[in-house]
Amino acid sequence: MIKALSLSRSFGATVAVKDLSFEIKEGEVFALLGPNGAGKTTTIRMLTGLITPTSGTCSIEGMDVTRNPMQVHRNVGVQPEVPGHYDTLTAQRNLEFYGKLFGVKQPQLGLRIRDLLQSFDLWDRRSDAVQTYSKGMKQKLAIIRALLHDPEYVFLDEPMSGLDPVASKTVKDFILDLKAKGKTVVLSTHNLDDADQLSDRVAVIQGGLIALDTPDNLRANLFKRTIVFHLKAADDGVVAKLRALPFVRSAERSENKLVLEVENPEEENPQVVDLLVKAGYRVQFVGEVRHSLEEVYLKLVKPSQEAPQ
Amino acid sequence: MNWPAIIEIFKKDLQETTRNRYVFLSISVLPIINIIENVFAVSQIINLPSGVAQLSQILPVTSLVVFLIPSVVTALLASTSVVLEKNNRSLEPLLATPITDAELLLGKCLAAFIPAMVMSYGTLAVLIGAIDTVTIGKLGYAVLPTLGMVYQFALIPLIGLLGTFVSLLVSTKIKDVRAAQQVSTFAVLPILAFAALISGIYVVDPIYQIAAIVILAAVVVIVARVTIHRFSRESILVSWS
Repeated sequence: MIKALSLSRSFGATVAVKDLSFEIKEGEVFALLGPNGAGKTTTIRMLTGLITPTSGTCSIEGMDVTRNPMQVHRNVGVQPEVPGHYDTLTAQRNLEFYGKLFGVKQPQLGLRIRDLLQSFDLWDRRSDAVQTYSKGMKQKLAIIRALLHDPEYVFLDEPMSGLDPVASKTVKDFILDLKAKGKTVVLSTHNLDDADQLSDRVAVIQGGLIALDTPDNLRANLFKRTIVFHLKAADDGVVAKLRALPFVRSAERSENKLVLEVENPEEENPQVVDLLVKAGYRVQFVGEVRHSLEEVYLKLVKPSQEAPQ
Repeated sequence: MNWPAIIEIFKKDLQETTRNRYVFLSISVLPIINIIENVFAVSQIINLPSGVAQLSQILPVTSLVVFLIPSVVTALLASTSVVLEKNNRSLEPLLATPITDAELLLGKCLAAFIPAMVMSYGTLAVLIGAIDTVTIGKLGYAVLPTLGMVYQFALIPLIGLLGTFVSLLVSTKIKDVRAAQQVSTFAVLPILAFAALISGIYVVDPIYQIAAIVILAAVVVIVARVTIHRFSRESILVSWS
């Protein structure tokens, strides 16, 4: 388990992270969301022992990260925001170097490198200097590097940055595979669809913690459930009838579509359909509008000045 | 100390250096020029009527130029190895591995120090061989190595270590490769001056020579400690990003 308790970090007069507390369970995919300068990278750096918090504590498996950074490093894999490879060396040499620093012995290291490079479609380019790689390939190589020593905790800072849709799918599938293997994954991302698809829980941060929950609970807490009724033909008279129902919070018409906010659609939709049919309207489709995580995010996050990462 | 990790950092840095044409050329040119210049000077002097007398005066100075190599080569290599990490943004993943600051610095020191030592002693061996070839042909005997050069041999590693630590110290504060190399080269000049002063030309008494070696060794230890103390991963990560 990862625990952050009242984590704060300042750079001079600028407060990058303020009073951040949360727990990440084992085997969970946990996303950090926030605008540029919200403190996502600083949070990851504090959680992985790369920088110390100005105040507060963080621990991984009960081990204080600040006091035992070397032990923590053995157990975590970090993919930083910028890949940071040795560009004149080959991909294989880059990975061998890091594998040896993590104490992975041959022949396990060679096998691990081969498996990971093959999983990310880089095996055929293993002998090329990294400077010949595209941005997406470098990003995939950075993710491989973070996984070389098979860590229990994986921190990915903007893992899908620079990836084309195919490569992005590969990485997402790999993250889900890590979760299936019981690994804990912490990722920071700007891509809210990715966070929605991958994360068990998301923390929206902007300096401090704004919200923390599952994507579905965040939606439910911020938005009433919205149902759309597609009619063969609609008029304003039906809207007035629907607004008169006690459980309908709002009702709007857009051509032949009726958009209703209700409390409990499972109970209330049949009553609405019944009313519409009795009033002579023909119901073609009924569906629930799923608010995107982007809508949740935009409702939670205020535009602000950028702070150092 | 995690020696396998230290050796791995050393090997990686060495590989990067040899692939960097600019650095590789810079450090290769210096010994070649030294050898050609000194052999040419000896071959000219030896032909003069008072050549033998003049030779005994210039030989200690001739071997002195070898001090340039440990100081300048370590300055170029050490400063480059750190600043390249900054430019590649490769320090963050490196610091996320289970290595301590001291192990990282030691690996980087070795990557500057060992090539500098190989080049210094290699250049000295070639220089001695070339000058002796010239003097044997003309005088019938070898003039090098002199007894005084033994003292100079002992100074080379200390100068190399001092050059390495000073350059690492400089490069933690500078973000550009060329600026780091220039400042480091400039910073090692006092070391070179001090080394020349105690090289056996002005200080000939063995007691003073031993005292000079002890002083230089103490300075190396102090500068090494300051470098390790200043090499804070946190400030590097925050200020270099």
